[in-house]
Amino acid sequence: MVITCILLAVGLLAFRTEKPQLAVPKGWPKPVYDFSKNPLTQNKIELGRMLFYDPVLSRDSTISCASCHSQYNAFTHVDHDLSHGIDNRIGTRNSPALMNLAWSKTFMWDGAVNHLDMQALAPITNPLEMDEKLPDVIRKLQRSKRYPALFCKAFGDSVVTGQKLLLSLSQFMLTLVSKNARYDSVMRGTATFTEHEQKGYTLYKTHCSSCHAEPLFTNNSYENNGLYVDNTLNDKGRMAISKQTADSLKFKVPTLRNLKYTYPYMHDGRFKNLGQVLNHYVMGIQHTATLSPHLQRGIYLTNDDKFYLIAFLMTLNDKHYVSNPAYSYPKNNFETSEGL
Amino acid sequence: MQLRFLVWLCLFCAPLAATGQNLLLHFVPTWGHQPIAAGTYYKLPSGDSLQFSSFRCYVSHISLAVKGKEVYSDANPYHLIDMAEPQTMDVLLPQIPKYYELRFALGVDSAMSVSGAHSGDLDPEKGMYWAWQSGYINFKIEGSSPLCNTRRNEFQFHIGGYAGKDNALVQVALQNTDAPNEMTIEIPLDSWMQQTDLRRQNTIMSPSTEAVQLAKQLASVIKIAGR
Repeated sequence: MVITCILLAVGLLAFRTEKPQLAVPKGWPKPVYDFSKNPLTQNKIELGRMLFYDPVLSRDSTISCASCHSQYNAFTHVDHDLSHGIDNRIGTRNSPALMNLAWSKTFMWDGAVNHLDMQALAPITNPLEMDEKLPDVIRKLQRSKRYPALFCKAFGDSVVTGQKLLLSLSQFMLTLVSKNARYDSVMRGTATFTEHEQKGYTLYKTHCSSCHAEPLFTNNSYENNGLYVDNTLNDKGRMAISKQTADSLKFKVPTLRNLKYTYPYMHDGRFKNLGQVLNHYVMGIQHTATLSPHLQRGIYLTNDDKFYLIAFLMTLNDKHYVSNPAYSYPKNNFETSEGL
Repeated sequence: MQLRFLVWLCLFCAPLAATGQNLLLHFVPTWGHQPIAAGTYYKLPSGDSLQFSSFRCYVSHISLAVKGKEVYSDANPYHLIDMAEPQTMDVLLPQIPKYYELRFALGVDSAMSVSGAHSGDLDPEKGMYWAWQSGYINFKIEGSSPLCNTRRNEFQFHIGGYAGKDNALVQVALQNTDAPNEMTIEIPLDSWMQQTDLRRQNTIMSPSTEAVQLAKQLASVIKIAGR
């Protein structure tokens, strides 16, 4: 009798459908995204992935999310200081690299967006990016041959709404987790740093970790890192959103992961390579009222130090992330005989 | 003995019981006590004219109160009233008890502005959520007037903001001891604009002290029609 019960229980457990979960790596903090409001399902993730790669989100169907957030470049727009969008219009900021979004409370360089679900609204409606209106996107999707069925699969009915579009995009974006860099293997004990990388790690902990804290390599806060104001842009950063003068020239601390793929650097892409970035921190900091307290005394690095630090930073590149097929262009979904 | 108890119980409970009636509310923006028609020109006290192209407003958390205590709360908390969609201007509250006071908020509370994508009248596809900066727009009043030195002489008031002193959510409380089953809530835009100089104040597209002031002004002029 007992054996039957045990077998039955095991059998039932085996039939339980596996729901995708966000695997939180050991030692990482808890995600801040509220999954209870938008629990992950495979169908919603797949729908989100299709939408991410579909230029139908833009006014003339030429620009998709992937246009400025390309997987091979850790989901940024490589080699562009300012991104370009529809009709060759040039934007006002550098495209941030997307990864580990479940751990961010706010989004965009100035934190304008307070919830991942709402972030997509900004590029969709920005005239320099996709120049579209949400109701028009919904109309296009509802009229399409392929999307009503996909929405039905994901949400149980084929009515396309703004909320469903945003929730499914969120789900795909939440799956973009970069956690398999060489650094991560070292932390897990399955690899060791070289002598140069180890020296760089020590230098990183001394000079960089207060803002670019492990394991996400950002503390997701807003800091003024002493960049001079580019008067062709006059970008005041977070102050535009918070209206506090204390936030003048503060921008979101970006992650140091995947730097190999995501040049140029800073909110306006002014530094083409990491050498220029380090030179800024050593010699180029502008002292203004809101300069980060961590940078008040300057950072002293010898040329050898810079070499070791970059060696360490290269251990944060995650080639599995940029080649993971689960994040790639969904070829099978798009290249069917059904047109849009 | 039992019967007397039951009768006493019924008499006691009767005033608290639902009247079995509904309350039908009509939310109507007006000028000169007449419902506003889009495109119709109205006269300002200065003699200049203006016309409205759009009036959209969130009415939320409608409740009824007796002597300061809430006795009924709308099960559907968020309504987007839109002059261009007449059916949205009527809100039905079913099975209401007796009441003295009608309360509601103009706008969406901050909790909804920070918790991601919502459905129905709160769906961002309604165009009442700021795309470039998070947060709901509590109300949009748009139109044109020769007084506005703007493109196409347009005025656009997009009043929102949920954080700190930029919180533009405002509360309205209206007394009506007659407790009728149908009420028109008048939103007199002529009264609202009494302090507004359209030459200088015609475009608000983000949270600000001005936006808060205009929200408070709107709350202060809303009334029950005919009172």
